[in-house]
Amino acid sequence: MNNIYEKFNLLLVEENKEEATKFILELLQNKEIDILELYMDILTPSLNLMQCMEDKRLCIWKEHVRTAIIRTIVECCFPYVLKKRDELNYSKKGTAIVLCPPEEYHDLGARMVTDFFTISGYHAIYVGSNTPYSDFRNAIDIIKPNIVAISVSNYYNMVVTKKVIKEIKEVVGYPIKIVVGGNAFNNDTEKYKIVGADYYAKTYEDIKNIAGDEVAL
Amino acid sequence: MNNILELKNIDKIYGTDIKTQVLYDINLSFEQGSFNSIIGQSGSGKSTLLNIIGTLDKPTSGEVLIDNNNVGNMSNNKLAAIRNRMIGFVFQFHYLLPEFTALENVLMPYEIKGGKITKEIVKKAEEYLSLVGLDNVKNNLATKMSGGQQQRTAIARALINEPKIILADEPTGNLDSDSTENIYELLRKINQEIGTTFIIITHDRKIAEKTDRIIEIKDGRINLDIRK
Amino acid sequence: MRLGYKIAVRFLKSNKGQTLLIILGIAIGVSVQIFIGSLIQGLQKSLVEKTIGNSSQITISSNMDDKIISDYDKLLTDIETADDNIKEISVAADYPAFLEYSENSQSILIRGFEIDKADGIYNFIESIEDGTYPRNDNEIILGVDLKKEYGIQLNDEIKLITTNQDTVMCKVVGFFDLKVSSLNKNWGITTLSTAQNIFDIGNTITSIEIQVKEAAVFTADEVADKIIEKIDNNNLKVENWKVQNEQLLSGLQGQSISSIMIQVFVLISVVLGIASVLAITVIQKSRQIGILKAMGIKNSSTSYVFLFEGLILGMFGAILGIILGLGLSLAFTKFALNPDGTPVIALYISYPFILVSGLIAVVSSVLAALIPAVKSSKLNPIDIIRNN
Repeated sequence: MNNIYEKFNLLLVEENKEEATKFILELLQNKEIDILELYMDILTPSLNLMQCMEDKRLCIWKEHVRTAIIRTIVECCFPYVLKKRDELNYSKKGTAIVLCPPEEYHDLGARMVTDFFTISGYHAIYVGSNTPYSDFRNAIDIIKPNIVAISVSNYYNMVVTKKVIKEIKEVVGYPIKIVVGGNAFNNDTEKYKIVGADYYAKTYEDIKNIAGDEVAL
Repeated sequence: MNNILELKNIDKIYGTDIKTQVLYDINLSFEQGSFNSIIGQSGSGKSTLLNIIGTLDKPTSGEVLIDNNNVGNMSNNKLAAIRNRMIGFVFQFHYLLPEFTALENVLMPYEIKGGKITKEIVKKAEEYLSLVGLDNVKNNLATKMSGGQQQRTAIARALINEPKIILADEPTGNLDSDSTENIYELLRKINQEIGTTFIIITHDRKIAEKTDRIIEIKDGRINLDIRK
Repeated sequence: MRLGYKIAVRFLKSNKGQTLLIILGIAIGVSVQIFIGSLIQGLQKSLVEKTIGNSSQITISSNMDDKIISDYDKLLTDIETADDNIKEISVAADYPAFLEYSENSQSILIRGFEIDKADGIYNFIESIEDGTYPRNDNEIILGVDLKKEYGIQLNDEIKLITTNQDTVMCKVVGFFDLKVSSLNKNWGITTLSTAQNIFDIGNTITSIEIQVKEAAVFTADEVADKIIEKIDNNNLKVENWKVQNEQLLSGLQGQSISSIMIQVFVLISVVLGIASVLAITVIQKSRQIGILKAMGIKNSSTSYVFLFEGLILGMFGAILGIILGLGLSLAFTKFALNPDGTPVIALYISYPFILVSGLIAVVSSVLAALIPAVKSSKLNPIDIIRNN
């Protein structure tokens, strides 16, 4: 696994999109890596542990390019996600919507979490970054999800997250569960309580546990 | 870390006949050298809170402790001395004295402290002015400077007595985004180099998201208090 | 305080137009005060000078029937030590007589003086138009009116007939002009000893005449009272010019009062002007005061700002006002002239008065600044910070 990570990382440093994508897809094709392993052990650290070695002024540029490469890989993985879901065959659990609050643009984590929800047996809807607040509230009325997962990277967005969660809980007339995650919450596992969420999720295991709770209810 | 500033059960009610409560039971403490922001909608009470912290306004009830000294029962002159030595203010409307030059404005808190203008202090003031990038306009009257320049002068002025706390109310409120970025960088630099505690009211997310702690005031209460 | 001064100067400098206007306002007030004061004082001085300047201001005479005061040496020393304000003391032996010159005759008042002493009061020597003053016995000087009327020549002899029908010949050695025609017509001035001889009264006199120092002219009655107390003699009558000239006195007093009234009202308008302008500056500068207070300036220091503004305005106003007032007075004495080239009214330029006028302007400017000073010290910085 370490070898895979190191090789992949090298390709990312070179910003070689073509080879990086080919490399991962071949691994999946040959069943040399499991989709969950790929997400948890290769892609997530590649995103989070990026070090900015060179000129500081290019950091954000580099980060964006890397994110774009990984995004392409994630999108290409969808057939394998479905395969994994069918393989594990958890009970059907209703709808989970995954989104980022307004002004939050770091959405790749949310995108990956959507796949975790899919694998866990949810009808998972990925809404994406910078979701306008009113749209999303109106959508909840129609979709009536069991779970709303909000991904927050910039800790300033916890302010609006708290507001959104409060309003959802006031408006929705059934026991909806709110999951939060992302960089803003990662340094303190109790932080999710501040914004009024029900769960904090960082890993696939966390999502699986939440799904388990849901079933138990 | 020591708490440079503590607020205990602060209530603020305006008016005698028609009472309007603006702050409800605020409890906050700020660590020495921390870099904090206060956000909230207009009318939420955040400016009142900052004015109470700065001893410009008095709470209806509750205690304000600056460097472990309760300012509640201090005389006006004592409060003035606290403001002069412990606190630097930076306001949205920069509030320079238009009759004086940038350099003289920067020296003003020092003169209020009773200090004699010496070569050393002028040099120090000039250093602060160059820290905020105003070497070339230091002898301009306040009225002959741009908004950003005035704001940076106000920051240099807030620094001259080396206060432990700098209170800034919308320091970038009427500046363009480039100037905003510059002001933020400047405040951060001072925070890191001198260890000054900052409490900044802002509605600019670009500033708030870079501070180490965000306190959201809503309807006179602390709605959210988060650290990075 | 130093900072208060510095800020005050800067505030005044930054608003030059307004500052100049206030200074001009104060200056005009001060100059009017100086001009009117000098005018009225000059007027009074010349009037008093004309009326009593060359006459006795306090006169001591006898209550007795013979009108004679003997043993006057001790009396003189008593009077001299009675009051510091006494300037001139002169004794006189006055008796009426009949003057005969060729075919003309008239009654005349013979006044025997110690000439050098009496000169201090009457200024004889200067007022002699022709000849000299009597030095020896039986020398006499007469008024210019008599000279004109009877054609008396210098060194002519005239005959004097006393009430006792004694006849004495006197030589006319000069003619005086005391500017009062009744005196010029009716006085014959001779030495004391001549008068004593003519009227055969030995070493006695009939009156003591006194002039007081200029500053005490209007308190001559008090000096007279002191003299009465000192000499303590019911046989002597002490009269002062104020009793003799009551009408003049009330006229002068009326003038003084109206002059003071004018000055007071000028002062009030100046004070109100400064106070209202400074009150406006507090509002103009309230933002700055708020900023300074937020930076920790003491309430008292902000008061100093306005007190110093008052002081500076007052001082410059006073100086300019004195210059203007003196200039105005000078112009008045230069251009408002009689046909003979003397000024219509001789202004009395009193430097103490000018100094006091200036000082009053400065003091009242500072007083006027008190209201804004108090106002500024009460100003709460939060009101300025919040209202913006």
